[in-house]
Amino acid sequence: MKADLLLAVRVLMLGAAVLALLLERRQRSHRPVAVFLGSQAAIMLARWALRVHVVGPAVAAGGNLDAGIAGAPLTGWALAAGISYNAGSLAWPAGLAALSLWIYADMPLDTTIIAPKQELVAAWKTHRRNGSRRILWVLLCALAWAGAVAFVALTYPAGRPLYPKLFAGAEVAALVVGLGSAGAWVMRACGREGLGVARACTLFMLGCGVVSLAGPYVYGIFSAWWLANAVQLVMYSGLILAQGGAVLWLYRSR
Amino acid sequence: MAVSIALILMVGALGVGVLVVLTVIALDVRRGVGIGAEASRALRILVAETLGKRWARAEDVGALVGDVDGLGHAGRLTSQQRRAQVRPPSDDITPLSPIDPGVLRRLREEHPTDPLAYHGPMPALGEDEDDEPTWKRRSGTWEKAK
Repeated sequence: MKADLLLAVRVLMLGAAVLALLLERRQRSHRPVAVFLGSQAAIMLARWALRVHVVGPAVAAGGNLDAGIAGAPLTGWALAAGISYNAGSLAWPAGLAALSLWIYADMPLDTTIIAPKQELVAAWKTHRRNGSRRILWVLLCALAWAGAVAFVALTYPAGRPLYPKLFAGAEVAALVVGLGSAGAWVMRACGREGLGVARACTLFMLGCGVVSLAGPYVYGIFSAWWLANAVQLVMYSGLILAQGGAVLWLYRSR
Repeated sequence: MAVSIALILMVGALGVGVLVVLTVIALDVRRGVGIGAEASRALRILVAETLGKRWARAEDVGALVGDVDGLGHAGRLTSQQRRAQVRPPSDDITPLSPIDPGVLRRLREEHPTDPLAYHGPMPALGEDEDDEPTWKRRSGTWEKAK
Protein backbone atom coordinates (compact mmCIF):
# COMPACT_ATOMS: atom_id res chain seq x y z
CA MET A 1 0.00 0.00 0.00
CA LYS A 2 2.84 2.38 0.85
CA ALA A 3 4.44 1.80 -2.57
CA ASP A 4 1.10 2.50 -4.27
CA LEU A 5 0.69 5.65 -2.22
CA LEU A 6 4.16 6.85 -3.22
CA LEU A 7 3.47 6.12 -6.87
CA ALA A 8 0.17 8.00 -6.70
CA VAL A 9 1.92 10.98 -5.11
CA ARG A 10 4.55 10.99 -7.85
CA VAL A 11 1.93 10.89 -10.59
CA LEU A 12 -0.11 13.65 -8.95
CA MET A 13 3.01 15.76 -8.47
CA LEU A 14 3.78 15.51 -12.18
CA GLY A 15 0.19 16.44 -12.99
CA ALA A 16 0.31 19.46 -10.68
CA ALA A 17 3.60 20.57 -12.26
CA VAL A 18 2.24 20.25 -15.81
CA LEU A 19 -0.88 22.23 -14.89
CA ALA A 20 1.27 24.90 -13.23
CA LEU A 21 3.27 25.27 -16.43
CA LEU A 22 0.07 25.44 -18.49
CA LEU A 23 -1.36 28.07 -16.17
CA GLU A 24 1.85 30.07 -16.27
CA ARG A 25 1.45 30.46 -20.03
CA ARG A 26 -1.78 32.41 -19.45
CA GLN A 27 -1.13 33.99 -16.06
CA ARG A 28 2.32 35.40 -15.51
CA SER A 29 1.83 35.74 -11.77
CA HIS A 30 1.81 31.95 -11.57
CA ARG A 31 5.37 31.67 -12.88
CA PRO A 32 7.05 31.27 -9.44
CA VAL A 33 4.72 28.38 -8.58
CA ALA A 34 5.34 26.80 -11.99
CA VAL A 35 9.10 27.10 -11.52
CA PHE A 36 8.86 25.62 -8.04
CA LEU A 37 6.58 22.70 -8.91
CA GLY A 38 8.40 22.02 -12.18
CA SER A 39 11.81 21.93 -10.52
CA GLN A 40 10.49 19.79 -7.66
CA ALA A 41 8.98 17.34 -10.14
CA ALA A 42 12.32 17.13 -11.97
CA ILE A 43 14.10 16.58 -8.65
CA MET A 44 11.55 13.90 -7.77
CA LEU A 45 12.27 12.05 -11.03
CA ALA A 46 16.01 12.33 -10.49
CA ARG A 47 15.69 11.04 -6.92
CA TRP A 48 13.49 8.22 -8.16
CA ALA A 49 16.16 7.21 -10.68
CA LEU A 50 18.89 7.44 -8.04
CA ARG A 51 16.80 5.36 -5.65
CA VAL A 52 16.11 2.66 -8.19
CA HIS A 53 19.52 2.40 -9.83
CA VAL A 54 22.11 3.39 -7.22
CA VAL A 55 20.96 4.03 -3.67
CA GLY A 56 18.42 1.23 -3.50
CA PRO A 57 20.82 -1.54 -4.64
CA ALA A 58 23.55 -0.20 -2.35
CA VAL A 59 21.20 -0.22 0.64
CA ALA A 60 19.93 -3.67 -0.32
CA ALA A 61 23.53 -4.87 -0.35
CA GLY A 62 23.92 -3.83 3.27
CA GLY A 63 24.65 -0.12 2.88
CA ASN A 64 23.32 2.59 5.17
CA LEU A 65 22.37 6.02 3.86
CA ASP A 66 20.33 7.50 6.68
CA ALA A 67 20.02 7.14 10.40
CA GLY A 68 17.85 4.35 11.70
CA ILE A 69 18.86 1.88 9.00
CA ALA A 70 21.44 -0.65 10.06
CA GLY A 71 24.38 -1.30 7.75
CA ALA A 72 27.76 -0.11 6.65
CA PRO A 73 28.25 3.45 5.36
CA LEU A 74 28.02 3.99 1.64
CA THR A 75 31.19 4.73 -0.29
CA GLY A 76 32.18 5.89 -3.75
CA TRP A 77 29.47 6.56 -6.33
CA ALA A 78 26.82 5.17 -4.02
CA LEU A 79 27.75 7.77 -1.43
CA ALA A 80 27.69 10.57 -4.02
CA ALA A 81 24.28 9.37 -5.17
CA GLY A 82 23.08 9.15 -1.58
CA ILE A 83 24.17 12.71 -0.80
CA SER A 84 22.49 13.92 -3.99
CA TYR A 85 19.38 12.03 -2.92
CA ASN A 86 19.33 13.83 0.42
CA ALA A 87 20.12 17.13 -1.27
CA GLY A 88 16.94 16.59 -3.30
CA SER A 89 15.00 16.04 -0.08
CA LEU A 90 16.29 19.32 1.32
CA ALA A 91 15.39 21.15 -1.88
CA TRP A 92 11.68 21.09 -0.99
CA PRO A 93 11.86 23.19 2.21
CA ALA A 94 14.43 25.53 0.67
CA GLY A 95 12.32 25.95 -2.45
CA LEU A 96 9.10 26.44 -0.49
CA ALA A 97 10.70 29.16 1.62
CA ALA A 98 12.08 30.87 -1.49
CA LEU A 99 8.72 30.61 -3.25
CA SER A 100 6.89 32.11 -0.27
CA LEU A 101 9.33 34.99 0.02
CA TRP A 102 9.11 35.65 -3.70
CA ILE A 103 5.37 35.44 -4.04
CA TYR A 104 4.38 37.31 -0.90
CA ALA A 105 7.13 39.92 -1.04
CA ASP A 106 5.30 42.05 -3.57
CA MET A 107 2.30 41.89 -5.83
CA PRO A 108 2.69 40.45 -9.30
CA LEU A 109 2.57 43.02 -12.05
CA ASP A 110 -0.52 41.62 -13.70
CA THR A 111 -2.59 41.61 -10.52
CA THR A 112 -5.84 43.43 -11.04
CA ILE A 113 -5.66 46.62 -9.06
CA ILE A 114 -8.48 49.05 -8.60
CA ALA A 115 -6.53 52.16 -7.74
CA PRO A 116 -5.76 55.63 -9.05
CA LYS A 117 -2.80 56.11 -11.35
CA GLN A 118 -0.63 57.53 -8.56
CA GLU A 119 -1.09 54.36 -6.54
CA LEU A 120 -0.22 52.25 -9.55
CA VAL A 121 2.97 54.24 -10.07
CA ALA A 122 3.85 53.84 -6.39
CA ALA A 123 3.14 50.13 -6.59
CA TRP A 124 5.37 49.86 -9.64
CA LYS A 125 8.22 51.63 -7.83
CA THR A 126 7.78 49.36 -4.82
CA HIS A 127 7.84 46.36 -7.10
CA ARG A 128 11.06 47.51 -8.75
CA ARG A 129 12.63 48.19 -5.37
CA ASN A 130 11.54 44.82 -3.94
CA GLY A 131 12.55 42.95 -7.06
CA SER A 132 16.25 42.95 -6.20
CA ARG A 133 15.45 42.26 -2.55
CA ARG A 134 13.43 39.21 -3.53
CA ILE A 135 16.39 37.84 -5.46
CA LEU A 136 18.47 38.35 -2.32
CA TRP A 137 15.95 36.33 -0.29
CA VAL A 138 16.03 33.51 -2.82
CA LEU A 139 19.84 33.52 -2.80
CA LEU A 140 19.78 33.28 0.98
CA CYS A 141 17.48 30.24 0.74
CA ALA A 142 19.85 28.67 -1.80
CA LEU A 143 22.74 29.40 0.54
CA ALA A 144 20.94 27.73 3.44
CA TRP A 145 20.21 24.71 1.24
CA ALA A 146 23.86 24.53 0.18
CA GLY A 147 24.92 24.73 3.83
CA ALA A 148 22.62 21.87 4.78
CA VAL A 149 23.89 19.73 1.88
CA ALA A 150 27.47 20.54 2.84
CA PHE A 151 26.69 19.47 6.41
CA VAL A 152 25.31 16.15 5.14
CA ALA A 153 28.31 15.58 2.88
CA LEU A 154 30.95 16.55 5.40
CA THR A 155 29.53 14.77 8.44
CA TYR A 156 28.65 11.46 6.76
CA PRO A 157 28.64 8.88 8.24
CA ALA A 158 29.22 10.15 11.78
CA GLY A 159 26.49 12.78 11.47
CA ARG A 160 23.73 10.39 10.47
CA PRO A 161 21.96 10.53 13.87
CA LEU A 162 21.59 14.27 13.34
CA TYR A 163 19.85 13.94 9.95
CA PRO A 164 16.30 13.67 11.34
CA LYS A 165 16.83 16.86 13.31
CA LEU A 166 18.37 18.53 10.26
CA PHE A 167 15.46 17.61 7.99
CA ALA A 168 12.88 18.53 10.62
CA GLY A 169 14.67 21.81 11.31
CA ALA A 170 14.76 22.64 7.61
CA GLU A 171 11.03 21.92 7.29
CA VAL A 172 10.12 23.98 10.36
CA ALA A 173 12.37 26.84 9.24
CA ALA A 174 10.78 26.83 5.78
CA LEU A 175 7.29 26.89 7.27
CA VAL A 176 8.17 29.71 9.65
CA VAL A 177 9.63 31.73 6.78
CA GLY A 178 6.70 30.92 4.50
CA LEU A 179 3.94 31.61 6.99
CA GLY A 180 5.79 34.71 8.17
CA SER A 181 5.99 36.14 4.67
CA ALA A 182 2.34 35.26 4.08
CA GLY A 183 1.44 36.99 7.33
CA ALA A 184 3.43 40.05 6.29
CA TRP A 185 1.49 40.12 3.03
CA VAL A 186 -1.80 39.91 4.94
CA MET A 187 -0.75 42.84 7.13
CA ARG A 188 0.36 44.89 4.12
CA ALA A 189 -2.00 44.21 1.29
CA CYS A 190 -4.92 42.07 2.45
CA GLY A 191 -8.14 43.59 1.19
CA ARG A 192 -6.38 45.63 -1.47
CA GLU A 193 -5.18 42.62 -3.42
CA GLY A 194 -6.90 39.31 -3.92
CA LEU A 195 -5.27 36.06 -2.93
CA GLY A 196 -5.09 34.75 -6.48
CA VAL A 197 -4.25 31.25 -7.61
CA ALA A 198 -0.49 31.49 -7.06
CA ARG A 199 -0.75 32.82 -3.51
CA ALA A 200 -3.58 30.39 -2.69
CA CYS A 201 -1.55 27.41 -3.94
CA THR A 202 1.47 28.54 -1.92
CA LEU A 203 -0.67 29.00 1.17
CA PHE A 204 -2.14 25.54 0.68
CA MET A 205 1.32 23.98 0.41
CA LEU A 206 2.41 25.78 3.57
CA GLY A 207 -0.70 24.60 5.41
CA CYS A 208 -0.13 21.02 4.31
CA GLY A 209 3.45 21.34 5.53
CA VAL A 210 2.13 22.33 8.95
CA VAL A 211 -0.22 19.33 8.94
CA SER A 212 2.58 16.95 7.97
CA LEU A 213 4.56 18.08 11.00
CA ALA A 214 2.18 15.92 13.02
CA GLY A 215 3.06 12.86 10.90
CA PRO A 216 6.57 11.73 9.99
CA TYR A 217 8.23 14.39 12.09
CA VAL A 218 6.61 12.81 15.15
CA TYR A 219 6.74 9.13 14.21
CA GLY A 220 10.12 9.11 12.44
CA ILE A 221 11.22 10.68 9.18
CA PHE A 222 12.91 7.58 7.80
CA SER A 223 10.48 5.01 9.17
CA ALA A 224 7.14 6.76 8.70
CA TRP A 225 7.65 9.04 5.71
CA TRP A 226 4.63 7.46 4.07
CA LEU A 227 2.51 9.53 6.46
CA ALA A 228 3.84 12.60 4.65
CA ASN A 229 2.84 10.92 1.39
CA ALA A 230 -0.74 10.77 2.68
CA VAL A 231 -0.72 14.55 3.17
CA GLN A 232 0.98 15.05 -0.19
CA LEU A 233 -1.75 13.00 -1.85
CA VAL A 234 -4.33 15.53 -0.70
CA MET A 235 -2.01 18.46 -1.38
CA TYR A 236 -1.28 17.59 -4.99
CA SER A 237 -4.93 16.69 -5.59
CA GLY A 238 -5.90 20.13 -4.32
CA LEU A 239 -3.26 21.81 -6.45
CA ILE A 240 -4.51 19.94 -9.50
CA LEU A 241 -8.09 20.98 -8.78
CA ALA A 242 -7.21 24.65 -8.23
CA GLN A 243 -4.81 24.98 -11.13
CA GLY A 244 -6.94 22.83 -13.41
CA GLY A 245 -9.95 25.00 -12.68
CA ALA A 246 -7.95 28.14 -13.37
CA VAL A 247 -6.56 26.67 -16.60
CA LEU A 248 -10.04 25.74 -17.80
CA TRP A 249 -11.36 29.18 -16.82
CA LEU A 250 -8.57 31.10 -18.57
CA TYR A 251 -8.37 28.94 -21.68
CA ARG A 252 -12.15 29.04 -22.08
CA SER A 253 -12.36 32.81 -21.69
CA ARG A 254 -9.73 33.56 -24.37
CA MET B 1 -3.21 2.79 14.16
CA ALA B 2 -0.86 4.06 11.43
CA VAL B 3 -3.69 4.13 8.92
CA SER B 4 -5.80 6.13 11.36
CA ILE B 5 -3.00 8.68 11.72
CA ALA B 6 -2.69 8.90 7.94
CA LEU B 7 -6.44 9.46 7.62
CA ILE B 8 -6.37 12.16 10.29
CA LEU B 9 -3.52 13.88 8.46
CA MET B 10 -5.41 13.71 5.17
CA VAL B 11 -8.50 15.21 6.78
CA GLY B 12 -6.28 17.93 8.22
CA ALA B 13 -4.87 18.69 4.78
CA LEU B 14 -8.41 18.79 3.39
CA GLY B 15 -9.35 21.24 6.13
CA VAL B 16 -6.42 23.43 5.14
CA GLY B 17 -7.65 23.37 1.56
CA VAL B 18 -11.15 24.39 2.60
CA LEU B 19 -9.74 27.23 4.69
CA VAL B 20 -7.68 28.48 1.75
CA VAL B 21 -10.71 28.40 -0.55
CA LEU B 22 -12.79 30.28 2.02
CA THR B 23 -10.00 32.86 2.32
CA VAL B 24 -9.94 33.33 -1.44
CA ILE B 25 -13.71 33.84 -1.50
CA ALA B 26 -13.66 36.18 1.50
CA LEU B 27 -10.93 38.38 0.01
CA ASP B 28 -12.66 38.47 -3.38
CA VAL B 29 -15.98 39.34 -1.80
CA ARG B 30 -14.34 42.06 0.26
CA ARG B 31 -12.79 43.57 -2.85
CA GLY B 32 -15.91 43.00 -4.91
CA VAL B 33 -14.03 41.43 -7.83
CA GLY B 34 -12.75 38.04 -8.79
CA ILE B 35 -14.22 34.61 -9.07
CA GLY B 36 -15.20 34.51 -5.39
CA ALA B 37 -17.22 37.71 -5.69
CA GLU B 38 -18.91 36.47 -8.85
CA ALA B 39 -19.78 33.16 -7.22
CA SER B 40 -21.05 34.92 -4.11
CA ARG B 41 -23.20 37.28 -6.17
CA ALA B 42 -24.66 34.43 -8.22
CA LEU B 43 -25.44 32.55 -5.01
CA ARG B 44 -27.13 35.57 -3.44
CA ILE B 45 -29.25 36.11 -6.53
CA LEU B 46 -30.20 32.45 -6.52
CA VAL B 47 -31.22 32.71 -2.87
CA ALA B 48 -33.12 35.92 -3.58
CA GLU B 49 -35.00 34.23 -6.41
CA THR B 50 -35.85 31.31 -4.20
CA LEU B 51 -36.59 32.89 -0.84
CA GLY B 52 -37.47 36.47 -1.64
CA LYS B 53 -35.78 39.79 -2.09
CA ARG B 54 -35.20 40.49 1.55
CA TRP B 55 -32.28 38.10 1.26
CA ALA B 56 -30.68 40.06 -1.55
CA ARG B 57 -28.34 43.02 -1.46
CA ALA B 58 -29.14 46.23 -3.29
CA GLU B 59 -26.93 45.39 -6.25
CA ASP B 60 -28.53 41.98 -6.50
CA VAL B 61 -31.98 43.52 -6.60
CA GLY B 62 -30.62 45.73 -9.33
CA ALA B 63 -29.61 42.67 -11.23
CA LEU B 64 -32.97 41.06 -10.64
CA VAL B 65 -34.94 44.10 -11.73
CA GLY B 66 -32.49 45.08 -14.42
CA ASP B 67 -32.88 41.86 -16.29
CA VAL B 68 -36.63 41.85 -16.09
CA ASP B 69 -37.04 42.11 -19.86
CA GLY B 70 -34.68 39.21 -20.38
CA LEU B 71 -32.33 41.35 -22.46
CA GLY B 72 -29.97 42.45 -19.74
CA HIS B 73 -31.38 45.97 -19.60
CA ALA B 74 -30.85 47.61 -16.26
CA GLY B 75 -32.90 50.74 -16.45
CA ARG B 76 -35.29 50.24 -13.61
CA LEU B 77 -33.41 50.78 -10.39
CA THR B 78 -34.99 52.11 -7.23
CA SER B 79 -34.13 55.60 -6.04
CA GLN B 80 -32.40 54.17 -3.02
CA GLN B 81 -30.10 52.20 -5.25
CA ARG B 82 -29.30 55.30 -7.26
CA ARG B 83 -28.51 57.23 -4.09
CA ALA B 84 -26.25 54.42 -2.97
CA GLN B 85 -24.51 54.66 -6.34
CA VAL B 86 -24.89 50.98 -6.86
CA ARG B 87 -23.34 49.90 -10.11
CA PRO B 88 -26.09 48.44 -12.26
CA PRO B 89 -25.40 45.50 -14.51
CA SER B 90 -23.89 46.73 -17.73
CA ASP B 91 -23.72 45.23 -21.16
CA ASP B 92 -20.28 43.76 -20.53
CA ILE B 93 -21.70 41.47 -17.87
CA THR B 94 -23.42 38.41 -19.16
CA PRO B 95 -27.04 38.67 -18.02
CA LEU B 96 -28.26 35.98 -15.73
CA SER B 97 -31.27 33.92 -16.53
CA PRO B 98 -34.37 36.03 -17.18
CA ILE B 99 -36.59 36.54 -14.19
CA ASP B 100 -40.23 35.78 -14.55
CA PRO B 101 -42.11 39.09 -14.06
CA GLY B 102 -44.70 37.15 -12.12
CA VAL B 103 -42.10 36.22 -9.55
CA LEU B 104 -41.14 39.86 -9.10
CA ARG B 105 -44.76 40.88 -8.75
CA ARG B 106 -45.29 38.27 -6.08
CA LEU B 107 -42.16 39.46 -4.25
CA ARG B 108 -43.40 43.04 -4.32
CA GLU B 109 -46.75 41.97 -2.95
CA GLU B 110 -45.12 39.92 -0.22
CA HIS B 111 -42.77 42.72 0.82
CA PRO B 112 -44.65 45.98 0.21
CA THR B 113 -42.51 47.98 2.67
CA ASP B 114 -39.15 46.54 1.74
CA PRO B 115 -37.07 49.49 0.50
CA LEU B 116 -35.03 47.14 -1.63
CA ALA B 117 -38.07 45.72 -3.34
CA TYR B 118 -39.01 46.92 -6.76
CA HIS B 119 -41.80 49.50 -6.64
CA GLY B 120 -41.82 50.79 -10.17
CA PRO B 121 -44.27 49.98 -12.89
CA MET B 122 -44.36 46.30 -13.61
CA PRO B 123 -45.08 45.00 -17.08
CA ALA B 124 -47.77 42.41 -17.26
CA LEU B 125 -46.97 39.03 -18.59
CA GLY B 126 -46.71 39.15 -22.37
CA GLU B 127 -46.57 42.94 -22.51
CA ASP B 128 -43.73 45.34 -23.22
CA GLU B 129 -41.61 42.57 -24.52
CA ASP B 130 -40.49 44.56 -27.55
CA ASP B 131 -40.34 47.96 -25.88
CA GLU B 132 -37.12 49.88 -25.54
CA PRO B 133 -35.99 50.44 -21.97
CA THR B 134 -37.60 53.55 -20.53
CA TRP B 135 -34.60 54.53 -18.43
CA LYS B 136 -31.35 55.87 -19.84
CA ARG B 137 -28.07 56.46 -18.13
CA ARG B 138 -27.07 60.12 -18.28
CA SER B 139 -23.95 61.57 -16.61
CA GLY B 140 -23.71 58.85 -14.03
CA THR B 141 -27.38 58.79 -13.04
CA TRP B 142 -30.42 57.05 -14.40
CA GLU B 143 -33.11 59.19 -15.91
CA LYS B 144 -36.35 58.40 -17.57
CA ALA B 145 -36.12 58.68 -21.33
CA LYS B 146 -38.21 61.43 -22.93
